[in-house]
Amino acid sequence: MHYVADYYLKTYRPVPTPILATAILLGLLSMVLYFMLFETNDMLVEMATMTREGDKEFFSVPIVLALLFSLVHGHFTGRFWDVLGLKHKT
Amino acid sequence: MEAVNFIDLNATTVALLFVIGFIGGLVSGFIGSGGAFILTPAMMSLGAPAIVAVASNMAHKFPKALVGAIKRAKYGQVDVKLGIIMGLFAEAGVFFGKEIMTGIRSHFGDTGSDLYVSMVFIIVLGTVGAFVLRDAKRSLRGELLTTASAPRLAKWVQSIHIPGTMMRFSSLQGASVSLLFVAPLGFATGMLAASIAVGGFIGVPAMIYVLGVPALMATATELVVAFVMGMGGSLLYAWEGFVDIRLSMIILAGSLFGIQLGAIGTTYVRDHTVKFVMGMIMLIVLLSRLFKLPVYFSNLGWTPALSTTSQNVLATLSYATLAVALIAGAGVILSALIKGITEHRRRTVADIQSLAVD
Repeated sequence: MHYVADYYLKTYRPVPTPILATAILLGLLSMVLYFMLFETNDMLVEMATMTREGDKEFFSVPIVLALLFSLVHGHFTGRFWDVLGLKHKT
Repeated sequence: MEAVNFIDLNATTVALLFVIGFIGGLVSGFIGSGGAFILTPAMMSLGAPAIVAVASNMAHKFPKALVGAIKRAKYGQVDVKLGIIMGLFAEAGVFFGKEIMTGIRSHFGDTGSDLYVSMVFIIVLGTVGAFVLRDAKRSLRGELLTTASAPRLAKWVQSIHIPGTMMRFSSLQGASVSLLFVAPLGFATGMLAASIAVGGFIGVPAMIYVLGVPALMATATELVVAFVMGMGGSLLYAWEGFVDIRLSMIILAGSLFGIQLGAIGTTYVRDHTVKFVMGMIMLIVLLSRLFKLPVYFSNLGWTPALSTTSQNVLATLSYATLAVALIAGAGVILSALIKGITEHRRRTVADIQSLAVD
């Protein structure tokens, strides 16, 4: 169990270590994906241009990337607010 | 046909797209659907051609819908069968809508498709925005919402028995409806999605008022519809090379943060606040699109040519109005969220203290 500062309640809130570790891991993975997206900027534009000009070899790249990013980043953001203590009103 | 140009990415564009994505997500999470009515015009304002804006928006939306659908299926809110069937008909609608889009583009160029998207936005936002504001006013007065006539329509639809077309859905508490009713609703949802990427404006009310699906299940099932048709629509647009995946993914980065925060926000505010925010944003975005109409008309040669100064003034006005809609919407949502959480925590602290005294 890790303890995260809760400034409003002026106390420390317990966050189970596996939840914190998964959130950090997913965050890092998400950062790597976005770093690679910017690194391949020109290549992605080129692939779309090729597709528009009739060469359909890389047409599915955007779809595969969309699924991959949402899976990783979606799971990260879900845990992000949770770790910060922003939860649904119960 | 005019050449399609993807916009250049620099630090400012990336930051703007991230913030726009966050606010779009915040609004989507808060008012249940939409967000695209901010994202599509915003991408257009940054210089993306309409067809690229719609395609890229769709490509960021369908995987997000999948994540949401899986999450809500765990709470038992999703009617998978209805979602898939409506989604398949919506797919046909997307195909038809996309044909219209590419047809307009090849005849009238980017200005033509910009005008078409703007017109659809104005009609849909005007109609739905006015309806939502009226609904919000009623709920503020404490009246029961629009349920008086709607279930009657749903009951009538459920009472029509057309042999060979009837299908039972779990979300209708075992009642069955004819596929002949489901098909046009799905088709219209898809057509709207292909044009402006916000099919939910038809899909959700249609499920609630025409089929009789409970509101909570309708918004959850809409996620399945959005996934099925969004995936198909994105594949179609990707096949043509119109998806700018860089835009989609940067928007997704902000949007996934926003959507979860927006959803949390709804649990701290009253029903009419959600509707007021929705109606207000829709009408301001509508105004933003209205400013651009004279420019499109003049570029198409339908009205006397506008001077460059006038075009710039109108473009700036459109951009500024959109910024007002974004900032005002985000401001209202965040302040409601902060106020709600502070109040909730104050009570929690008071409860803890009273327990300690006891």
